[in-house]
Amino acid sequence: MAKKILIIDDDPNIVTYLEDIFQDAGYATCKATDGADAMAVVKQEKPALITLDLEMPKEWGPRFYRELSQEEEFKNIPVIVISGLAGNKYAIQKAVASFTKPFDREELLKVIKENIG
Amino acid sequence: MHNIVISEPIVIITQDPEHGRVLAHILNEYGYQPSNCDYDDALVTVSVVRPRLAVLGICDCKLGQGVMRKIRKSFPEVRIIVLVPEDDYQMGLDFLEEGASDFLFKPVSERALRIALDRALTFLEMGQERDVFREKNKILESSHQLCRQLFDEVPCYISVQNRDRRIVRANRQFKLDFGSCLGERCYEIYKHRTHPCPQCPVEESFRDGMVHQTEEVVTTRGGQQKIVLTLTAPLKGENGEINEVMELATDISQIRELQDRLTSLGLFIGSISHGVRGMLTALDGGLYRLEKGIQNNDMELVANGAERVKLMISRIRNSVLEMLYYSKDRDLNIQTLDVQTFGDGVANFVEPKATKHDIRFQKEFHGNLGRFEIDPEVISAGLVNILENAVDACIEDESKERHVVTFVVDGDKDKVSFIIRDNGPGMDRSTQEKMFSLFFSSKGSKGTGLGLYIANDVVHQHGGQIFVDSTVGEGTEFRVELPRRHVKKAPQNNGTHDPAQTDS
Repeated sequence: MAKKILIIDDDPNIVTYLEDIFQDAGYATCKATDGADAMAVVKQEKPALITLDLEMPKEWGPRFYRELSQEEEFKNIPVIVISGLAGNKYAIQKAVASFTKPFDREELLKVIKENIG
Repeated sequence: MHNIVISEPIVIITQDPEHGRVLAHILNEYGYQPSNCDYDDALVTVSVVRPRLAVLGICDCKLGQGVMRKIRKSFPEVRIIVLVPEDDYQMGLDFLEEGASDFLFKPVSERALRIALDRALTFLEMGQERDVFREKNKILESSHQLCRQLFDEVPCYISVQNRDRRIVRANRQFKLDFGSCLGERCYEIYKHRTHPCPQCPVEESFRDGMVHQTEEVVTTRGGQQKIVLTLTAPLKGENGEINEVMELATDISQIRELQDRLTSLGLFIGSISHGVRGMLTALDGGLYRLEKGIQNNDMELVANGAERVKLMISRIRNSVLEMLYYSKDRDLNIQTLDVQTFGDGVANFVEPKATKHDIRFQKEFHGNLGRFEIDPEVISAGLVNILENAVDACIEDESKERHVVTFVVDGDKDKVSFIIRDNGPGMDRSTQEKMFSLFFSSKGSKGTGLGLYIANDVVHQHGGQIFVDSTVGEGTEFRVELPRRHVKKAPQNNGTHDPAQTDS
């Protein structure tokens, strides 16, 4: 079964783009448009990896990450930050990688492959 | 008696050379270095020898007076002892009146001559001391004056405060802007407070004897607010104890204003750049579909990709244009709106938060509210900010059981008023004075210091006003008044580059 990636971003156009490239690379995808909804999706879909935007209207990425890391079952899911904020690598230090929009597609896929195969 | 160490020059002026030689002999024994001359050579001799003392033997009163006048005129500092004929007391007095140092009767007693010379020397030395003293006094006076001038004219506010925090000295600039304040308390004069400010730098300097620095907002007696950078330094007494502290405050309002401008520009660019990054990424997404569609000969995918690319390019174009046209005043997007509907919308935004924290939220709409002209986006953001502050204040306030936030909307012919009232902890005057400053926050790390600054800015942009009334322990009331009709302000010539005018 294809490994599943959860995309958390409030911009539907970016979600579509990420879905396109992940599905074309052979992964399954699911999505959440806000940090506040994301936890429920994690529990239901149990993704292998999460891409996380930092700035979202209701709940910011770092807060979601804190909630995630407090759950024993999910705290080891690798998180990749993809955000429009420069210097975002300091926002979530335990993230496996940080990309600033617009990102390099090949580079992103390479990091995902390194983490979940 | 004077000990003459280095032989003191002295000029002996007589018409009787024999008498002159006797005098010279006597004076030489005393240690003087006499030079003899007659009346005709007197002035020349004095001008060459430059003595401090001269002895003038009189044989003819008139001639003698002539000589003495000449010498006194050219060398007033020379002390002249006059030898007058025996018992001619009147002549002696005449010479004293003319400025002689002393007179002696002929034939001169050696003792009398010696005493007269001694007295003349003593007088001269006292004169010298007096001159030195005068000179020193002059220097002291001018340096005192210089200090005073520096103290008064330095373009800062300087005050010296004692341990009671009372002002004991203040410079001109201080008195000019804050009134005659000697004996008053610093915090009363500067900040209209009833108690010392928290983290008072003067207090700190008294405590540790070090220089301290803070930034304060002060209010002049004319009601003008100034942002000042304050430095304090201890003034130590003779035993090193700190009796007074000097406070030097520099007006940095202009720098702050410039900083505000740069910061708002920075914030604007920051917000834009985040958006642009998102759009560029979405543009990548569109291109990805377009390319994949072409590769797979899937026209539907091509069309979808092209549609996305088109959409993103139009958004990016708008953003870039906005950035290019960004000037000092953001253009308001004025719309005519129903006041009640608008007020309801604002209230609905905040009510859930209040209810969640068990705070009663009370709406009061008075009379026929009608319509008004505003930029709803910025005004609602400003009002929501003030309402949220009221709710936050109530949440923080543990002194009362029940909390109420009241939102009143009222209108008359010319204006619409929004009143936001809470029974939270209230604000002291210092907080009230600072609260509209950029990056001032009473909420510590929870606040950004942007909210009220922006609220104030947009209300002024609309030609409106914000009034604040707050009492510590009782609560706070904000009244936001907006004109019903929007009047476009005359453009300010502030040197901002306007591409709209130069590109044509």
